[in-house]
Amino acid sequence: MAHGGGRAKVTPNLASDGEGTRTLNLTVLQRLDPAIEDILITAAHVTLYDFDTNVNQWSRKDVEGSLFVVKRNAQPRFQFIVMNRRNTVMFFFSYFIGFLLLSDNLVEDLLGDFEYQLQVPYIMYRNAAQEVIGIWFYNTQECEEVANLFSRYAVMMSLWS
Amino acid sequence: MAMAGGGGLNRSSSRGQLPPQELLDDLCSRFLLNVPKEELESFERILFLLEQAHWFYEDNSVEHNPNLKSLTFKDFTSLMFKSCTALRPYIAHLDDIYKDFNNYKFRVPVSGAIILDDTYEREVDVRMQLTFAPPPQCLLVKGWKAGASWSFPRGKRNKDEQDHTCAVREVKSLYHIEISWHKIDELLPASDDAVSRGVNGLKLYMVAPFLTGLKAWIATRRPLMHQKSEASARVTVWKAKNSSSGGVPVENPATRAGSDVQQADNRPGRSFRNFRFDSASILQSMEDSFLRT
Repeated sequence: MAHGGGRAKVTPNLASDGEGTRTLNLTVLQRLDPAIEDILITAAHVTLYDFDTNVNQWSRKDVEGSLFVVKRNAQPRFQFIVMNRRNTVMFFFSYFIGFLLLSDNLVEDLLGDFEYQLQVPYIMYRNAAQEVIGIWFYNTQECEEVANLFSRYAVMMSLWS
Repeated sequence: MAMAGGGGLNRSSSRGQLPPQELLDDLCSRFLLNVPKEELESFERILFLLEQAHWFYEDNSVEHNPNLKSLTFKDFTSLMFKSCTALRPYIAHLDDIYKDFNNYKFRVPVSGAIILDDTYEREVDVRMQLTFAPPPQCLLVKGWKAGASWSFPRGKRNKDEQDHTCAVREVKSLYHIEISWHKIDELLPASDDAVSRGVNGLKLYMVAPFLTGLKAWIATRRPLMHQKSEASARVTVWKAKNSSSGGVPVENPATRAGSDVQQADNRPGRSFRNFRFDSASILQSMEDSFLRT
């Protein structure tokens, strides 16, 4: 291979194989949860926030990555999952012992009473634990598509859950 | 919550198994295949993504499964190119891709902060000054891999990000890594070298070039906001309002290797709890100072 000033730089073309990516995503998610049947929609990059009702403030959660809305062959029928990219290690070092706190994937059940609100580029929702969570979407179109999917499936979710 | 003990820092890289395909698939899906299209437009960006995947592998996977082998970034990248279908067509170019990435990395600007404790400005009785002047200290951070060096908190600037925004962001991230106060005099000698050693043998990175300017600033004992272009380092200085309450900052007991442990509090997180680090006021003063300049 020729080196030096005349070398042409290689340009990647990774986004071409959509079907292969979809299959791999499904395989990976099914290894975490075998009941997952299908991926309904993917959002490339989201960041999650917690809303503290005591001080009326948003704070950033330690969860950031791609979001997948999935259909399962068991209850709960619908979920959305964020595959966490954040590697936040809170490392408390004392003279004797070290502890690690790791941030996991986020998994939320989509049940019939799922409450959400669209405010592009955010979707805010309240989960079963009564936490208010905000999802920031890097891509505003994906934000709208996910909200659209929530509204279309609201009826189905209430029937199936 | 996992118990890590001290073993995480002394991981041997000569033993252990390579990550299985399942794990590589997960990393490929998690970090590479589903990112926005713009992130896949150049191999520099792709290798930054693989760098994140590598950190995730080392800090999560290997930490949870000690049978897994710790990998250099080069070996990890090689493995990902072999196992990720989307990357496989480019294996022949891997050496060039890796070389280009290293060149690119060294051109990425970083921004950070030198945080001083308040001893430098405490009033000292003139008669006592020679023997009892409290030595000024600055904050250093260290990555937790074996062999990592101490440096001022800093990190890569994001696209279009300004210096001070990056610096503030890096200060905010200090909750997540090991931090410690160090006497500035022990970090000498000053030089233009990126890699240096303090007088006590401490491994330092990108500290020496700032020391001349820093000591000159402290010597004036005046909280100024000015730009210094001393040596090869550009430094903007500000003063934190309402800095943490007076009194000598508690030295991180972990840095006094071999010393007697006198306190009864040996619970995990003791050094973190004892740490005098008023981040809120530091961040506020950084923001305020940049509004004024």
